[in-house]
Amino acid sequence: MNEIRQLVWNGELNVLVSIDPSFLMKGSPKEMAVLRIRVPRETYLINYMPLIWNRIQDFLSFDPLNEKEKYFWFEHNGRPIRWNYPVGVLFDGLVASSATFVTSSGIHPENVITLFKVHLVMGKSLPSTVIPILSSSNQAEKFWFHQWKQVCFILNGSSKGIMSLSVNESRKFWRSVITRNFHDFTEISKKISPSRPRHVPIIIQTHKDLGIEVISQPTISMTGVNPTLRDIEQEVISAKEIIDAGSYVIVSQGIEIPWDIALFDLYLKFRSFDGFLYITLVPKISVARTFR
Amino acid sequence: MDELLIARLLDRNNRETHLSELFQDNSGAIGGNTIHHDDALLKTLTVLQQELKSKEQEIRKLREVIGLKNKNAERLNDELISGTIENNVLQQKLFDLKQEHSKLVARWLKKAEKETEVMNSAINEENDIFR
Amino acid sequence: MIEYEEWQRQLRSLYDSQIFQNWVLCQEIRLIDDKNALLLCLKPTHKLQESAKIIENKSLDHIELYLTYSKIYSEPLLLLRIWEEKRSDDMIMTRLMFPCKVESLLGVEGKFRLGLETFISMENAVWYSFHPCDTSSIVGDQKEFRPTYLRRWTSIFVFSWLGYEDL
Repeated sequence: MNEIRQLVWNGELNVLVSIDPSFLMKGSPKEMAVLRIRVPRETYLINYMPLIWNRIQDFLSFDPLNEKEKYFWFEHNGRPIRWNYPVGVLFDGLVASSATFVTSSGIHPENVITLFKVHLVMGKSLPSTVIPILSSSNQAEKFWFHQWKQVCFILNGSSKGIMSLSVNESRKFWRSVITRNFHDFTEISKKISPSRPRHVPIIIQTHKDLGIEVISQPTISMTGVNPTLRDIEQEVISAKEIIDAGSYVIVSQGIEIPWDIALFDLYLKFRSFDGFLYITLVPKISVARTFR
Repeated sequence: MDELLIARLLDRNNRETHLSELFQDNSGAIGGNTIHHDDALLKTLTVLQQELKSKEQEIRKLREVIGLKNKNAERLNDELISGTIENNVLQQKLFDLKQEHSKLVARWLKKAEKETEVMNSAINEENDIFR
Repeated sequence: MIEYEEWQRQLRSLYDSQIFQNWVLCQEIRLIDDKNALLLCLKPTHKLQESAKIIENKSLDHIELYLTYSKIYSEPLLLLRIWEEKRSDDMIMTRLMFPCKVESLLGVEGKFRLGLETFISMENAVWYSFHPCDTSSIVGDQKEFRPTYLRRWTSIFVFSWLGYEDL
């Protein structure tokens, strides 16, 4: 259990951040507009805003922290990215080719880099599904804590678990995400998870190869039962208007998950740093296509 | 089950670490923490950047000035055009008035001529009587 | 805490009571049947308009309130969006506004906590939500007062800071 949690926690991605030229003064060196960073799967993209601003601050043509007329957000291939999902979840849904999740492959071509490209852009108005990146330093923390409150409610039916954390503990909890302290994180998140949950906090997204983007958050009751993924197939798939479950692979934390795993077991092992279990539905068809 | 998951996660981590040494712009900066360099070169760079920034600002200001001047020029142009139009109108009026004036003069001359003739014939008649 | 069916019933009777329709600030009201929610379009109060001017140097166009139900918390949930009026080149446009300190702009600091979220059930649109976790203790959900739960919730979450009269 702990070994799996540790492996999940250690996951990191190569992220290429490019900054739109509109941020920079004319004549700024081009290489300043690109950052190559290693980002944990289990964190928010906007936790890197200080690093990004710091990197380009001398080339900025305005002060982003006092800008009231423009909004900022990230894009991937021209599509806005929701920073409020963990980086790994974004990657699994937007970037990874579905062939990545084929477990039997085991062969990695020497010169293939797994890479997540994001583009920082700005505009006078915001894409409707994106939370704007604000200048306040604790935006991510506030959002994240609110996510945990919801998780606590879904699991326990009350927010007691999270509300009983002391101020110090809640601060330590967030710090553990920033400083990648696995021990602290595990210790505090354990206080919030019960041994017998009422419901399981789960968010399901579709993989980009499906063509349409659907996100759902089914309510899966756990009272008196301990279902496997197969048992809740209906809830997982129904939201997608897809009847044939056989043509889908369940992916969480970047790997294929067997259908016969117990849901709560999966939850405890694979949940993200915001307390939710994220599942990506990857169509099998394109896997076959990739291999042809 | 756990062995399978562990193997897959290990596989994932291996794959995603491949060539990670190319992505080290944040090495030393964990999570969202930033790092600070202090180098003499960086200082010079900063000064130059400041200058670039101020020049950039200057350019922006000058652009504004140009914009304003352009607007002024446009306004003057408009005024010039309306002045020309007015001038044309007045020229026409002047021309009309001149024509009317010469007509009136001609009529007046004619009238004066007639009066002179009448007067002359009257004088002649008088002279004839006294002769 | 209020059950979903009970909440649905109370929302309907709240709508029928004309309390929102007679509200000075109310410009538009819509019952969204398939989602069981109520959408209100409000004229900003003078107080709000003033603090938007002072804090953000912006002029407000209107405020949207969305009264819905949170299945996670089993409580009524209030969502909010602020639209600013934007003049450029003699054109008046409206756009969403995301002030950094939304609580102080609305004048609800210390009273309510708000956060930005995207809502899956609403095409993943971004709204401010009033955090509902202490709702029960604020509104009081003893059995004998249950029939007026939403009514009291409304007077606390909506009228207490927006005011029924625009003074």
